[in-house]
Amino acid sequence: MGYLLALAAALPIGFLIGMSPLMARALDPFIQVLKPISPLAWMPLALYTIKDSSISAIFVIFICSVWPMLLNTAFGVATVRREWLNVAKTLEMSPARTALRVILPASAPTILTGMRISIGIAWLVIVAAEMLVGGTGIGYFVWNEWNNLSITNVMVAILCIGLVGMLLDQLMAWLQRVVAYAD
Amino acid sequence: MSTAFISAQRLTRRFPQASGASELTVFEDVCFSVAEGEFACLVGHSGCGKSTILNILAGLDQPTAGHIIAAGKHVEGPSLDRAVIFQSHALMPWLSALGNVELAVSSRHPSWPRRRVREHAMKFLALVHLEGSAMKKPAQLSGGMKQRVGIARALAIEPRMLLMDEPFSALDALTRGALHDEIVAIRKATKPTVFMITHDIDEALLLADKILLMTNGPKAWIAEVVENTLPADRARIELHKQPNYYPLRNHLMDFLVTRSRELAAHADMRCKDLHPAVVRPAVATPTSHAAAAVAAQRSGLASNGQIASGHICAVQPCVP
Repeated sequence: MGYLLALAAALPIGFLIGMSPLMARALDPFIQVLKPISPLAWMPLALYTIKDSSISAIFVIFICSVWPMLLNTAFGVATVRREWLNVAKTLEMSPARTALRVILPASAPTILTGMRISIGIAWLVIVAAEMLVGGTGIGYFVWNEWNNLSITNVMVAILCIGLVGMLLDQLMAWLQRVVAYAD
Repeated sequence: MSTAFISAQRLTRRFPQASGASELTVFEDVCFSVAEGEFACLVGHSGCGKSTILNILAGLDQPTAGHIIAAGKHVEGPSLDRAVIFQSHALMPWLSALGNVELAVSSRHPSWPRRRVREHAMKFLALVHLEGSAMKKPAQLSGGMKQRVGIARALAIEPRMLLMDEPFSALDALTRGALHDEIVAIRKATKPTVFMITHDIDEALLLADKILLMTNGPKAWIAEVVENTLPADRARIELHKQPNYYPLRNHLMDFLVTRSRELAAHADMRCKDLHPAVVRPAVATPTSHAAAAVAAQRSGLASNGQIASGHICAVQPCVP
């Protein structure tokens, strides 16, 4: 959920930064300061302002997965080949049509790379966040079983976390192959 | 000229330099015109601003001074009336050959249903003999086939003029020859107005009605317009057997090798009205010889000794 929200936010902003050098320079300082903050450091602030543990978790996932996607999108969009943009210009394409028909497919592999990195980080963070917040989830389960001293359950849970992480990564790898193009 | 379809008037382009102090003037006061249905080739050395002129004509770049009028309108930006065939084919690698042409067609006709767009695109792929490879991605096509898709894409929007930026320079000689034949065939069928940049003199002689010769940069200008005196139905295979072939070729070679440099050093030799001299190199006939020699001398053409070498230029010198 937080991941999808991050995707929804990162793509348009990434396009904006990639297409406009002015926006890139305007937003860069904020991104540079916000990006290195550990997502878990947001947790107390999120709990305090939102006052709802599950929405806070979503917020933390959002904040940790948005940066790789944002930066990769911006990079992918900014490095679309000049000649393809020139083709779009000579065909009198509108900016929206250019973005959808030329820039998006051209930068899709780079964007997908960002999404793949993001989903990995999101999965790492969600387990840690669940340990902190408690109540639900696999992270909470691990911590709970540790308190019960049920090491076998902890090990099963760890294996599950690894397998789900692998599945998520494979899903992204498959998506990457779909949008890849031979140049 | 009232019949000019494309007309460039005192076109100047300066680029700011990294060092900051002075701007680099690539070309200055370039004037030329192309009539409707005419095939014009622009020839010159690297760095004289040929591609910049084409980009300005395409609307992708702006001149520092001067302007271009195309089809009665001031060129301000890119237009579907002026299709560009890029040197590097510039196909979208994620689309099939057909998809690339369809993208252009649907940009031209946004209201067309998908089937009509597809039929139209297929028609133009068939024109360049690629109907069998329509579903292939550019990476699966050879260099010549890619450029054919580029040509189909440009023609499919049915532009009023075609702009080609060294379209065949990245291809091997055999493929280039085959594409020349296709361009000749397409020209016969559709009679487009074409402005092409090339380094290849034989290519220019085969395709062009007139050849614009540019001096070396910086501060380059179009010094001469050479009218192609070869017969209109010339074929690639017997181009060199035409009596006027060598006078033309020698004239062009001579310009590129020596005079483009000499003229660049003597910008003061330029005509006052800035329009290029019109030259018609042809085999000497007794009557034309004397008159042309006089005219040539007046326009500063004789400095290279080409009159003495037996070739003759019918020159229409510019008004001083």
